[in-house]
Amino acid sequence: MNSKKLERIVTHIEDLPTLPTTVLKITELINNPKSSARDIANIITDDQVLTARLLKLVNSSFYGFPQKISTVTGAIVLLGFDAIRDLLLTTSIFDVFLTKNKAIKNDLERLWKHSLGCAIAAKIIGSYTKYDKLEELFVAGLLHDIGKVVEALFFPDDFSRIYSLVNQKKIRIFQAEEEVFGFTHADTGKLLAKQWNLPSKIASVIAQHHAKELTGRFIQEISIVHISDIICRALDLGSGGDNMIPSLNDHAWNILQMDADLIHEIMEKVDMEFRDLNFFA
Amino acid sequence: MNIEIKDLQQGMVVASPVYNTQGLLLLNAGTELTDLNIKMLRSWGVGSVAIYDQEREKKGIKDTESDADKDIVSKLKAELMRKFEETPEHPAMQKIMDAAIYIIQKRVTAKR
Repeated sequence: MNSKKLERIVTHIEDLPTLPTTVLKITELINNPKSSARDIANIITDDQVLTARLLKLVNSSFYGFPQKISTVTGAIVLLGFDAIRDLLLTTSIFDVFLTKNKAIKNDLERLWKHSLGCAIAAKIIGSYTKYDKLEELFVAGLLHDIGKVVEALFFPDDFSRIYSLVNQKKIRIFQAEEEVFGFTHADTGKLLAKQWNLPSKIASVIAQHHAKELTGRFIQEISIVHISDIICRALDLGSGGDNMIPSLNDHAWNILQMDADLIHEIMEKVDMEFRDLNFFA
Repeated sequence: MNIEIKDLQQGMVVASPVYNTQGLLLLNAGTELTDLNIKMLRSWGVGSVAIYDQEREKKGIKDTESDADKDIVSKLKAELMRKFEETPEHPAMQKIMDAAIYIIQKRVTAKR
């Protein structure tokens, strides 16, 4: 392992973009049945960008309210928790993928689309497998490849080299990472998860989403994101870096206890929702 | 025929229902577009809308796959099969591949 580079990440970890704390707070609040519109409004108003996005949405001509809605609480009451949830989570995490570095901008954009696709797929698979915290699956999907963003931000040149290696040698991205760095995005993602103080469920998905071996408390979540990854690559939603499809881990498939005949329906839903949500690019 | 949001014009007639992310119906099939509802679609981030093609209807042109489309579809299919080549056989993977082929084909036809 090229420990020098990993060490550099560890020592400069505070230079990483901070996770909009809003994301976790909103997830937590929405999962709590006692939350009120005001609790959520308090979090949103702390963030000017979110506030602006929400008010713009609720004042759009679609609603056709005769009066301008000028408060966040009003917006939440009118739109409902569910309707604002995905929008807020997605826009918050999207900001982390933004870069001004032209050399890696396109790759990160495609990675964003891949992550969004996985988030949607994880949520939809979760709903078919009666998973009760769909929002956590959505966030886990959005963040599963975040280690690649860490690499891109710390070592943009190496990151570009990894992409060219993948194309030249037709290898998987983690193989190119091993070659260039001596570690993979699962390792850098783990570091970031620690820095961001992510819940252990999401940290486990980031560290183990390749499902080489399934261990620990969160095999259900890891399995769902693993299958979401396969589905998004099959549907060409964005790009995780290489143009290949990982092998399905049979154990992961069995854990979900899902009827294979549902796959078609699930994938149609993923494709449709992706087109609806993918309005940032 | 699918029209991108930026090319939508007043008076076009929506061919199939348009939904938002939450599955809420935004516009029903048969709606004649106004400036107001085009703005509304934009604010919801809708990318494109299926529009009823009157010219086509008048000329009695039926929706058949053109040769160019067939070409694109077979290329996409081959690319997809290649991606699955190295994955070991698994009944679920077969279903994923079949569904992906179906959906990708549908995308090409919808673009026309």
